[in-house]
Amino acid sequence: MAGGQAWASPGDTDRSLGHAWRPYRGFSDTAGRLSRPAKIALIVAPIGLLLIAVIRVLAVADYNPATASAIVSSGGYVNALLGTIIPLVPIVTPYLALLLLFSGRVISGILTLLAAAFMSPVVLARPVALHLPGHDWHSATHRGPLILAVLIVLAAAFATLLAVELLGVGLAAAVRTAGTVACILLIPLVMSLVPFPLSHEFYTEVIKQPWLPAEVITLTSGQRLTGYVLSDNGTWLVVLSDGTRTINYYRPPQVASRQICQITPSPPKAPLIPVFPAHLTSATSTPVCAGLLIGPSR
Amino acid sequence: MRLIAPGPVAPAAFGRYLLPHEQQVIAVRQHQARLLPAVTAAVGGLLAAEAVNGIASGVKWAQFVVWVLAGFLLVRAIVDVLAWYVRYIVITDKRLILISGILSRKVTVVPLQGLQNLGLIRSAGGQVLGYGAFTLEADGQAVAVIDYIPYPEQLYLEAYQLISPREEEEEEEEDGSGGDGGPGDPRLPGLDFDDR
Repeated sequence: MAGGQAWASPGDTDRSLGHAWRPYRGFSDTAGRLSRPAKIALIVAPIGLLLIAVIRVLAVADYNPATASAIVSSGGYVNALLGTIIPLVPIVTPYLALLLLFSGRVISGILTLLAAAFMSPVVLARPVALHLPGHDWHSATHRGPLILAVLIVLAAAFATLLAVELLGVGLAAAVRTAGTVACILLIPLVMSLVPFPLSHEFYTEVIKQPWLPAEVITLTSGQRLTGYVLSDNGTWLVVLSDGTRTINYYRPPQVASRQICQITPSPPKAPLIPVFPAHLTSATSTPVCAGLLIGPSR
Repeated sequence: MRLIAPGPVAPAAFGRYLLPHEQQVIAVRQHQARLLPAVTAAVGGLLAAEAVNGIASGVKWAQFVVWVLAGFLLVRAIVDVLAWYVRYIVITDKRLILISGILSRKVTVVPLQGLQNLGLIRSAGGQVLGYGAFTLEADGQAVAVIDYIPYPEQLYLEAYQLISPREEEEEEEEDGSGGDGGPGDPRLPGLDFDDR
């Protein structure tokens, strides 16, 4: 046969042909309407979450597999999985929002961005953060005449093309394009407010810290230690030591007192839009663990 | 008969995909509106990157990330334009052929014999810019949609005649005027013809 395949199945036509030739699918065929990347994402997501949880547990256990196994078996598998992932959600949410915006998922991106504003801790004070867009606009517009001319030409071309796209291709396509461009404009703001995890101490501490509250445990022998109580079933108290990252077992009669504390003296960072502003402006009442260790025993 | 839409010149390489007695009727590129999203995003990306260039000096990595993304959008637009340039929709008297691919060539074929109906969809945007979409139906179901067809009404009529040749033949027999230049001539105004 002189030309290609004899019959192009709908599945074949959907591959690498762009929007030129697409198979028709009914409105009820939800699974069929999912694109290949979406299907891959749906399949890979649980595996990815599991891998993130494993990496996090290993980081908490100081990369000791035996300690990591003890943490998971003592705390429970579901608790470990949720506990390792939930604290990371506020950190990755702003970047996920940018990714969604850039890839054309505008509504999901805006919703994720809103969620990030409510839960992601920002490193700048709120008044400074709120003035940042205005400051950025001032910096962008007060430039040399040549750069300003280039910006004006590009802006005019973009506005014209976007208007033609809006009229000629449709609202959805124009909104996706605007979302992609907005993502690029938002990158400096997001990186200023929520610095990328690998480049900031705050986040590395978050990843290294267990998801459980730190406690100063005073033993009847007078010894004090800072750790995380993995389980307390009445027979054994399983404690992950903060400094050495080793697992210690104590009988309940050995424990004289327990006091919840915080490892770092800095107060928790507030999100951009705190739901309860009054609580976040007041000083935290949780004592610092190091202060409890050197203080008088109770 | 060979019909080429005005503007692009169909490459001679089409011949290698045609059967010995197959006649090429229509060969068109997609409408330029197909390129609008990628080109607009690329221009917007450059605008945003240049604007951010002046404000991101205090943020480590921000400038780099922004320019990488803008570069990605630009490259994507260039690839889209190249892909559009080499992609042709060819309709012969036997088949619908889509030839695409920049580095690797892909040929997708739908035999006309299996098709029962051909639908034309013209969205609001398509009416503004002048493109439409063909819906190919076989066995009572739509099997494929060819989007961004230029000169949609003309090409629709031309393609529809190929799908329903029997009705045309019957009409020609009844009229007794099936030759070139008669009222049943499928040639369309505004399109170049190359009889072979």
